[in-house]
Amino acid sequence: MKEQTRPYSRGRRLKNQIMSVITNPYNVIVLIAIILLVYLIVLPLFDMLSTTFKLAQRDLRAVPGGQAGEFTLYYWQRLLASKLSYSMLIKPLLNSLLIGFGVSVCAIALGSALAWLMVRSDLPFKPFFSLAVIIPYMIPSWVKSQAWLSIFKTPRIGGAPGFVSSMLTKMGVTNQAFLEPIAYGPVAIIIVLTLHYYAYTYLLVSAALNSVNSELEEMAEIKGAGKAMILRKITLPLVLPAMLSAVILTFSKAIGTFGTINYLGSPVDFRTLSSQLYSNSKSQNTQTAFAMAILMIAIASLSVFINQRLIGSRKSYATIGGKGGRSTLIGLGKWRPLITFILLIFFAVGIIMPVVILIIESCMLVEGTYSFSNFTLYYWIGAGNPDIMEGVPGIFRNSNFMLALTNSLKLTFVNGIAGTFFGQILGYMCAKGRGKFHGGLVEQLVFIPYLIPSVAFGGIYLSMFSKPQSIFGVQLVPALYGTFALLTVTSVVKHLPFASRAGTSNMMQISGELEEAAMIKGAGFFKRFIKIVFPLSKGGFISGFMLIFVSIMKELDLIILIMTPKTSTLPYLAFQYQNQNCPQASNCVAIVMFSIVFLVYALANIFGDADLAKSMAG
Amino acid sequence: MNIRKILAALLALMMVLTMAASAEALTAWEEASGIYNGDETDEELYQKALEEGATVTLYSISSRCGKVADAFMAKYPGLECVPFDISTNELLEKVTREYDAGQHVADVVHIKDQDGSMYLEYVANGIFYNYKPTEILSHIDPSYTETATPLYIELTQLFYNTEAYPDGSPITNIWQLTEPEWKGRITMQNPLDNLSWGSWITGFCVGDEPDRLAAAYEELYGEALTLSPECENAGYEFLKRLHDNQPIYCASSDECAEAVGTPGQENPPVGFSASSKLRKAVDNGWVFAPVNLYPDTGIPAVNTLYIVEGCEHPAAAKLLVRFMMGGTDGDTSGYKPFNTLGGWPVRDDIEPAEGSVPYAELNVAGFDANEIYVNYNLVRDFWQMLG
Repeated sequence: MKEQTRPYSRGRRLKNQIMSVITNPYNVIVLIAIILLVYLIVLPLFDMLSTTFKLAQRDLRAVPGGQAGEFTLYYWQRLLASKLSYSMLIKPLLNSLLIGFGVSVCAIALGSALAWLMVRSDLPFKPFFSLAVIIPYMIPSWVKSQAWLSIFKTPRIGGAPGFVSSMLTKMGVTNQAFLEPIAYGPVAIIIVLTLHYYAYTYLLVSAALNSVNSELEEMAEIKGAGKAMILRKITLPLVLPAMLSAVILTFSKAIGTFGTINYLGSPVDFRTLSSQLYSNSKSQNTQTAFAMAILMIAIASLSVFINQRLIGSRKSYATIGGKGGRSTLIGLGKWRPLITFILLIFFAVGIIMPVVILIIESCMLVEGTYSFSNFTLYYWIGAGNPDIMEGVPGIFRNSNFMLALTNSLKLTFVNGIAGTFFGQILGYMCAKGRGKFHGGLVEQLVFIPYLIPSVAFGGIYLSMFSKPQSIFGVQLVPALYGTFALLTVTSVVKHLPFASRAGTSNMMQISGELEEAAMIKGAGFFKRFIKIVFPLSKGGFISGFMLIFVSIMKELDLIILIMTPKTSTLPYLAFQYQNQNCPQASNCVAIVMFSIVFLVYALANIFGDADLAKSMAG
Repeated sequence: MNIRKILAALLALMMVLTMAASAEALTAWEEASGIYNGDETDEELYQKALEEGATVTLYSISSRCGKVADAFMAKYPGLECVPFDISTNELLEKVTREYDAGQHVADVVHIKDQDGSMYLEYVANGIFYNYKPTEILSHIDPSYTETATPLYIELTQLFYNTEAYPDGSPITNIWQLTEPEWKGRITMQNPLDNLSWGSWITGFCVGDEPDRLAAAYEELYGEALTLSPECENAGYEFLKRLHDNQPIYCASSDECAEAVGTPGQENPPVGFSASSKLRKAVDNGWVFAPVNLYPDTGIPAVNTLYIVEGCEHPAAAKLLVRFMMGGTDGDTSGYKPFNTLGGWPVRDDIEPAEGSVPYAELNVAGFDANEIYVNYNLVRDFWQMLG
């Protein structure tokens, strides 16, 4: 390069550079965030990793001459290169990938299609549909698995056959072997999980679509582009970041899930990496379980990396500009009645039915007896009859329920808001730091807790924070055992991936010009964030909040270790009722949980949308 | 990371040996709590409990712990009992993490020692203590109290559908399960899935159980059992043949029971399930009965009580353990919640629940904590290898 004359000395330039880095609050915040993330995420991960290299006392019996706590390759060798590897790792891993890819493809397709119909088309009954569309995510996946079985269950595995099977038997079809692959195994699992996880795509893509100015599409239309071409060349690229975020969430969740695979896979011995992980964990083979979790984290990190590459290599499309936008709906034309009809059927079967079944079951005195005399509201409002439920009163008269309700509400609201807030800030960093080292780092770090098994995560946090945390003799964090603060830290960190994904795809759409304009006008970082970034990102904020809120509401494994006997929550109460052989009361609790989530979602939807429209119009 | 834990682990074997000798110097807590003293009376402990904080926390794998707590508080006014119902895996994780962090929350733990690890890891390392109230133990067969403070016994039993087989069980000898007729018609939980089923299959491969299985085979078919090359004894051979018969794995023990017990089935399966499902049968309208399998139904699962090292309420903890075990004054209200169908008392002076088959009449394998513990991983890996 040609030698240039420098008006400033090298030293002065360096000093200016350092000053501008240090005095920029953005850099300071990024630094703090990375330190915190390393502390809260990398440390636990390291703890897990080091556990897999330490010989446990219980495995001394398998390693002759070993000593507990010493360094060992026993677990990794056993997992990766032993005669057990195929049945313990390879086969389940292939099954996991099958489920992961299958669910991702189906859920992205379904979620995007629904989001487009709901946001961009002139579909009728939109207020109803947009509420209904999110219900599947609020229903626990085991409820859906049971609903699936109650329809397709075959007589081979005993118990009461499903609806289809009993119809076939009545029609004289005795050979029902063809039902087996539908009732259990990968196909069933993919369908049920798709019905659960399309909500991620729907929430993220619809938030992105909402902010697309339809002028872009209209321009193309004026130029003579057809509907398909507009969709392919304009709409799709604009929502691609949101869709890719959804792919990551869906794929990782699908390979990490356990309940549905247990219900629908067990009868045909279909096992995945996640079921192996749970089995090992429940068999006290903690080290092997951790090793499997680490492999799953590695797979997911790879998918995040690929995603970064995909988005990083293409141009950025900022859709939220300074100008006011309009949203003109696209006519479905002759397809309108047909699509409406299909959606109505879909919601009736896939969404309303499981809810109705749940409600009916909560009002049955004895399980499985369908008669009017069996109808009761005891489990809801009963005063305590020694013959029913061992004398425990119905949930609304039970002080335990009220306590759990209060705790759950506190937990979900505080953590939902805190988690979303941090998620948006981290999302902002991922978006603004895209292609840079710190952006990639934050994006990867934030994602790790997603795949650390909840029990392990909760356990490690319990250990970390039960003692005061200090560095060089200076106490930084007091002992948090038994405090609400510990519950908050754990749930917020565990759910950061949701919030920050929502934040990233959201922030990527906000044009940098807006901030630059404010910067020229002299607005500092905080002012810009509060006055510009935050108001424009409300839609993403709300979808991020919903994702966390719903997830924390259902959380049991994560917080059961951290809660004390007196800080019970609704999922814990449901678990207890289930244990006491009282599924009806358990269903009542599930319905209450569902209602809260639904109510919050409805409110967010109504007020959120109204606000969003206003801020966009101005 | 935790030096105390590592040291404790290093000393594990040594401690097992020295514990037998029991001539060791007591720790400060052992001294203060008098954990080895089983001769205090309820009244003495009650007074001490009131002085030491008047509260006691119970971690239990049974949902019935809530009732126990209520009964305890009714009997001992002024004492608070905080029950926490939690499943095995989480209980162990929670209690060890809290212990390592110096948070003495749980005083008493109720759990099953299914694979011997409670005794050989927790008791041997001085994390849990087997409190031995002398008077109560005099009513219990010493074979149960060697490695445990036993509460009650549960079994893994084979169930059949009584509506489809009104003349009695289609299976009486355990080897019949390996016949082609039952291929794909046996429900159970996958032994890989948790500690209790893993321990249960281990039970068939250790002690004198393989010999009993081999004898039962000969009795049924009139010829000696030939072992497959990979099977070391009749226990492994039984597991291999059972696995070859493609059992249907259920997601939970309840599901196993439901699969067998649902009325109106044309060709119902038979299935292994926890004996405690018996108490749910009437409520759920299940039509099933347990089989007194020959030579036996496998190892029992003994529910056991432990007092946690360093706990702050040792007197109340002892009082609670005594109360749950049925006490000494004839008032068995602490044991009553556990005395149901499918659970058998260990005390000779407590009658089992009405309608129970006496435990002595049931064919059950012997339980040796050491044998199960040493072989557990081998047998689990064997099952994993099968596919």
